Amino acid sequence: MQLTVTDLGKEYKRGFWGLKNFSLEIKPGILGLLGPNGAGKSTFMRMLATITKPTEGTITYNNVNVVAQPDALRDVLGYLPQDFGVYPNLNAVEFLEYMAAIKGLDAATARKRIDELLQLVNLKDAARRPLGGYSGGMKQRVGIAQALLNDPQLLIVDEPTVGLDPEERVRFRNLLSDLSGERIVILSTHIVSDVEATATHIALINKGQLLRAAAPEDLLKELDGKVWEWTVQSDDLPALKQKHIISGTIRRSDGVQVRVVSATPPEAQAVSVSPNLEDAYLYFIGGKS
Amino acid sequence: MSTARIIYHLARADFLERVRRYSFLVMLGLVVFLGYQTAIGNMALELGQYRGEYNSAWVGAMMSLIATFFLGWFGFYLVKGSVARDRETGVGQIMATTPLTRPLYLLGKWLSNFAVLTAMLAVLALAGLVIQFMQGESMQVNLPAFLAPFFFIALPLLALVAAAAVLFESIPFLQGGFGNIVYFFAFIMFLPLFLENSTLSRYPAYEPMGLGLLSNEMGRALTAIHPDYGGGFSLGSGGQEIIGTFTWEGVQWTPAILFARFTLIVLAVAFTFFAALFFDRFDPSRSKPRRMKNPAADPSPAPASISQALPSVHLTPLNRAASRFSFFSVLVAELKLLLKGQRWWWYAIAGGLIIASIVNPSTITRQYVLPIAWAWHILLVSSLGNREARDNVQQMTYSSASPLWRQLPAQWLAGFIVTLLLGAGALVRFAVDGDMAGLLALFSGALFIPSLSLALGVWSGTSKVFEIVYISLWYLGPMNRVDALDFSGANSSGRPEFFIPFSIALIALAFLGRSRQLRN
Repeated sequence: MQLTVTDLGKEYKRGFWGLKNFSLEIKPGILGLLGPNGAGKSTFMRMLATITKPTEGTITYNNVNVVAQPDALRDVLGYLPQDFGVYPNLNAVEFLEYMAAIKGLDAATARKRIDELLQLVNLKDAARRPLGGYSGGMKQRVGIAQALLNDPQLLIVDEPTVGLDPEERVRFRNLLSDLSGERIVILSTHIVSDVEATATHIALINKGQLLRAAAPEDLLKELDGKVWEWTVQSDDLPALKQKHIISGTIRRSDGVQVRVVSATPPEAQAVSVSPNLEDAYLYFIGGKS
Repeated sequence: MSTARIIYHLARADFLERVRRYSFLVMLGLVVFLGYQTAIGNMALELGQYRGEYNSAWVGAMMSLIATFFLGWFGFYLVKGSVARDRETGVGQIMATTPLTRPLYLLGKWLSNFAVLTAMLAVLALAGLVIQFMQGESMQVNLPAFLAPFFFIALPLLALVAAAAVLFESIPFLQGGFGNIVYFFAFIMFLPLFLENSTLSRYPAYEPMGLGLLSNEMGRALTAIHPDYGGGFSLGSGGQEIIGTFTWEGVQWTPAILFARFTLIVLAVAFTFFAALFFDRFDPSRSKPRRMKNPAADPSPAPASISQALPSVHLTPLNRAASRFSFFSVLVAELKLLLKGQRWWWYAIAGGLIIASIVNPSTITRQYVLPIAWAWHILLVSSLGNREARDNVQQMTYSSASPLWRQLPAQWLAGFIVTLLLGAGALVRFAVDGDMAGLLALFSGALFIPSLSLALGVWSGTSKVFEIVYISLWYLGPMNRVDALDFSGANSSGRPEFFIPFSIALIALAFLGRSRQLRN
């Protein structure tokens, strides 16, 4: 199974490109898309999900051009949009039955699958209540369930943990890990810890361009010897922020412990520490690479 | 920030948001079309067999009347929806956290509604100037005489329409499609009421449409020249032969008339403040909760999660080859979606109408019961084609396989079945009576209603357009015996030879629209 994106581009208005010259080869596993707001993550995902047509470039799934033949992908696609609604007068079971029908699942298969999914997203008790009365997090879980209805080979989830409480967030991350394996999962978020916990590959996007695509270990390797920690006085912090990319601060009794991403030692007393993905994100997105 | 400044910014932002919308351009196009129809003489103001010379006063009055009639009626639908937009976008809840009061917020909305309608009026005024020059009967522009009817006749009415839109948006049961239908009939009912009310005929300046005021003033001027004038005042395509013209210099705007017209604006503001009594200020807890299907169910929201360890669940892999697409399943789901959410009495009345169709004589069923049954489900079928946009599920449904060929046909068919079900009683009656013409008309009507809704829903993305178009057709065709629009065969054999091919064209149009949305 392989999803290949070649020279993909989307022009919204004349001269304004949401995505440009974007090429990526995606294999089974979890691809975490990281980037700031407006980087082009959702545009990319909508194109992969066959909702938005690219202005240029191709997307092929198992060597089939899905821009020309979107249905080749839709049968095996599960998609959770960033912003979606539900039919307020239906309950969760009815809504999932509806989505299952249009996804092409027969009634018996749909019933069994819906039952499992409702357990999985912890909505069994509220399954017969109208969706109009659901909280934001509950609606999000209905969205997750509908994305998994057809046992998708390609699962695209855009900001899936928005509105979930910490426990549900962890459960969802574990679910994604369980689901990967022989399928492609594309996860977009700017919550770096979600990607850190699950992704087997990471793509960093900014201003519609692909900055880096690599395994998390490879990204971290690039930062070896570039992350530093030391303690400064509170008054020195503003000046330090002007000079360096600060990825973290911790208040201590003797001042503020700062964590800085820098190719060279920023201060004589700075100690090199192990990098994490947040450091990598700031390093690459901050344009200091 | 001063109160005036708050209202100004509220109205300004809302006005800009609206004039940049596609629907504003469509309405503007319709207004230009109205102006054009007047310019080429398809629409004119006539007093019996006479008309005024096309000078500034006459053209100004005529265009003002066109504005009061069309913007008064359809402008309501254009401006209604700004509170709903704040509700849908969540902006309303943000505003609710500010010190903004309910009357102030609604006053801003009223002002914005009024500004949008005034912009339309300005276009008609410009069209009026062009018409005066095109007719060439008087090349002298008398601006005060031309503009006065716009200011003193049209604007006060538009102020009331703007306030009505705010009032309807504030009263929960008038916020949706039901409110649209209520306004439609309220406008039709108020029109003759205004004209025939004895108090208003004594004080015509207080009549919001300005018909009485203008007909009195014009009639007086005409009688002075042509004493044989026996009454009659119409705005439309004419039809009568014009035997003479007369010069009319305009209304004598006395302080009493101006006071009366200004009173209407004050009344509009009062309506707006009155609306504040019903406005929930975006507090969802103030809206009436829906009755649960199972009263034993716990009405409080379920906890977002539970604290104990959750059982680990593993999904059974699907046997893709064994699972086959079933159109019937989609159809059942679409039917469920269409019929769900109605109260018990809706179904009871629908059942009553079906039974009434069977037990009544064929002519009664044709003329009254079937048209009423097909008006009863208007708010149900009006969701066809636009439900995905309304409930923001497009991305999920459009990313499913073959949304054009799986979901859209099922949606149309669900609408057709529900329409046919409401006509089932009539179907039995006509079949028993051997009324083949009635059966054919019924079938063409059942085809036409969901097709019109689907096409308008897909292309407009809202149910409002269908609700207005359909109720207008229903009112003119089946109810008022305009044979050309009689889609249900209420007064004749209907027009299946037109409505069947037209329905097919509408379905094709809907598919074209959806296909375009999917390609975007």
